[in-house]
Amino acid sequence: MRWDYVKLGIKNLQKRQLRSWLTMIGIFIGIATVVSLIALGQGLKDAVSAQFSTLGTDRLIIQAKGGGGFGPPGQGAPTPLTEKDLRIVARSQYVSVAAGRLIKGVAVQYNDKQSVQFIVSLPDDQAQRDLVLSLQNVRVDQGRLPRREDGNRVAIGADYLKPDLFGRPIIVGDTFEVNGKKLEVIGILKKRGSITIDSALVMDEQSMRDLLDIPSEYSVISAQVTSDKEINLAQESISKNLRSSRRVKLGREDFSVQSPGSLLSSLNAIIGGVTAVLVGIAFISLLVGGIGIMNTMYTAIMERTREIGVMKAVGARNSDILAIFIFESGMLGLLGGIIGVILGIILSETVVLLGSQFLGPGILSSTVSVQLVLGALLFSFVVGVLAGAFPAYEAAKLPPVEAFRQ
Amino acid sequence: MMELFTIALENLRNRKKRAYLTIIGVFIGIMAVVALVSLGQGLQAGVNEQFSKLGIDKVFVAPTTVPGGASITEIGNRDLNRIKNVAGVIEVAGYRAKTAKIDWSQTTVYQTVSEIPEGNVERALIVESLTIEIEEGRLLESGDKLRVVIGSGYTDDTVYTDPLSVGRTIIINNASATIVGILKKIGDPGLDNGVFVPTVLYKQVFPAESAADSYSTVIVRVAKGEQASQVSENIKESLRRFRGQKPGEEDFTVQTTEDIKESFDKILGIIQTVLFGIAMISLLVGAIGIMNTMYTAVLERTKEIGIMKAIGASNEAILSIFLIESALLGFVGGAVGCILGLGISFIASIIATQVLGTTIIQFVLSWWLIVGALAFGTIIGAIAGFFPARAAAQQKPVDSLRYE
Repeated sequence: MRWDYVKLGIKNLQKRQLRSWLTMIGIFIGIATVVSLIALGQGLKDAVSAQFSTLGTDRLIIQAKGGGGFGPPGQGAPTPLTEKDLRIVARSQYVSVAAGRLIKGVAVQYNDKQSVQFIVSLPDDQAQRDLVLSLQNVRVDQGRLPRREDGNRVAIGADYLKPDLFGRPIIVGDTFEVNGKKLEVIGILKKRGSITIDSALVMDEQSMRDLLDIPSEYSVISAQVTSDKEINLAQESISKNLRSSRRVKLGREDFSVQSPGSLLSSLNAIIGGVTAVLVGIAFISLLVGGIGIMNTMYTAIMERTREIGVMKAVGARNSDILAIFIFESGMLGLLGGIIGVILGIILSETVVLLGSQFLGPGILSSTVSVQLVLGALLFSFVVGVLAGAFPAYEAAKLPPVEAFRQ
Repeated sequence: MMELFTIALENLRNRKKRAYLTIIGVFIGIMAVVALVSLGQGLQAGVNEQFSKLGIDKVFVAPTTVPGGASITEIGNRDLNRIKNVAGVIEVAGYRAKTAKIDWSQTTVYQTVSEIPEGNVERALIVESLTIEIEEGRLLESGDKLRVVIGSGYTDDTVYTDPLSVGRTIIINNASATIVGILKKIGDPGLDNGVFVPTVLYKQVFPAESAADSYSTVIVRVAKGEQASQVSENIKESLRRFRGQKPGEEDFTVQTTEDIKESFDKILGIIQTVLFGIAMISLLVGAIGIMNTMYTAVLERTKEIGIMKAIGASNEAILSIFLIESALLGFVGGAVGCILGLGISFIASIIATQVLGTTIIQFVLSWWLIVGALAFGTIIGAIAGFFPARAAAQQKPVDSLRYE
């Protein structure tokens, strides 16, 4: 019986092909827009999560509060972290390794041109070094990373291979000037899509302190926790130890101890908010499409008043009539949804493709999840059913005699 | 012509429910577009007002920063004196601001501390370009030492749960200061949550930085009758020569108010275009609804069209009847959508003013938006109705009459 409704519905839609198509276009435009926006938003979230996943869930980041907000971490903080703080963090309970990093901006001179870039430090101790490298997901493309004995030798990010920065690329063996000292390039990092790595100069920590005359400060301290289950315990222990060594009371800390997860969730909230606004506006077109379905169904019922009368006369119950029309409108919604999902995926992929052409690779990406596809299909079906409910109810109510008379 | 109009109107009345649904489809789209455009205009008006407070007679000189914000090179008093002597420059003031620890009522926060200079000319210039205005108490004056003016964020629970008032004392990096004034809300969290101190106190709060002779921005007032863009070029050239740099390699930037406004406008424009584009999609769907309604109408009235043709109606007359009908649908949809859209934007501007406490989103009623929405609705209706109307006009009378 149910199958008959479906067949009847399809047949009726086929009879009025032009109208069915126009109605479905109304739905699939909306679905396509919503699907592509959600896919792009999810893609962005995934890309951000991927950046953060290298930070690990068993690591903590310690920074001095009051940094410039937009500058590198720790920049401009009234009470910066120091080597003493690093020792305190390293000795805290549940912490296996702790490493400090210096991140500074410097003016780089090369090929008679000057540009302001990041310089980051690399510890010489092997355990600390491994922690910093894995945190930043740093891989060497050519040459090697600097050690203590390298002095003013540095590794550089992949962006320096492009000639646009200094008029010509910098390669291994080249030298450039920072603070009047010559720095020699001994390694080039793999491209990571993150500005702090791709445009960075990596230098041995002590050599960087000598170069920039920074005695003890750290921009950021990272701590490896013994196990990710103990992350909260480690956080408490570090906070407590730093409070007592820096002589600040609870609630008046001049430092923060954060897990990457809390940073990630605040970023995700921003992306989610932007996506929600855009999807909300796109939903308006879906509403308009639903009204289109309603209109089509009212017309269909008017045209088939006589048919409804005949069906009722030969014994069709009100619920049968209701089901027939609801199936028909649900079908319009579902078919519109299928086309919409396909177009939406194509649309988001096109945007990603154009994005990588004009903005560079890796900035935009799209993720089409099974939930998204199923959700969109279900939603379009529901829109169809809801839009058809009123007209179908009216059709079911029609007294057979009345229907015949028209 | 009037007759055709009457026929079209009559036809719409005959199928009221369908006409209403079609109009709803159009007005939702128009409503979304009008609301977004109107809000965009309101935001633009708010931004324009902020910039007009800033004044077009200013040039801002700042050291180049790395992507992120840290500056490497410094602009100090030597540069400041150099700028003073550039043609077209009448007043110069150096602006410094830095984050400090601020204690009040058992709570520590980290907020921006801005220096308000001692000299009257410099102070006026800084106050004007920060666009700060006093709400309660007074601004800083010459001779103020351990005094501070605080942003509006301290009067509610934005910064501290315990609100501050004039006469209270806060501790900035271990230096006590008495509050003499509270500022009006600006809408920029950096300033609203910031504090403003006299030079004496600034030096006490940041001893090392004050000695470093470095400004985050040097603000220049251009003499009356001089072009800010020309003066900006003059300053750039003078500083470049002074610092021994080639064009294109400056370690500093020189911007006029217009330059800053332009980059703002660019971002605003992009946001508006994206939102407008997405809202236009619902209008497209609404137009398809009109097309659908009109095809149905043509189909239903096949016999009627046949009769009209049989008694001498021209193809043009039939085309006109259907075009007028669909244009009417679009026009009414446009009118309703326009009213509702402006309503939404009006309410949004009120909510923004109430909740944010700033006039950054204003309500702008522009006649061209109203006329545009009406014309646009009508044109969309006419375009959507064109194919159905042509189909009606081209029907052969014999076939039409035979249609059941």
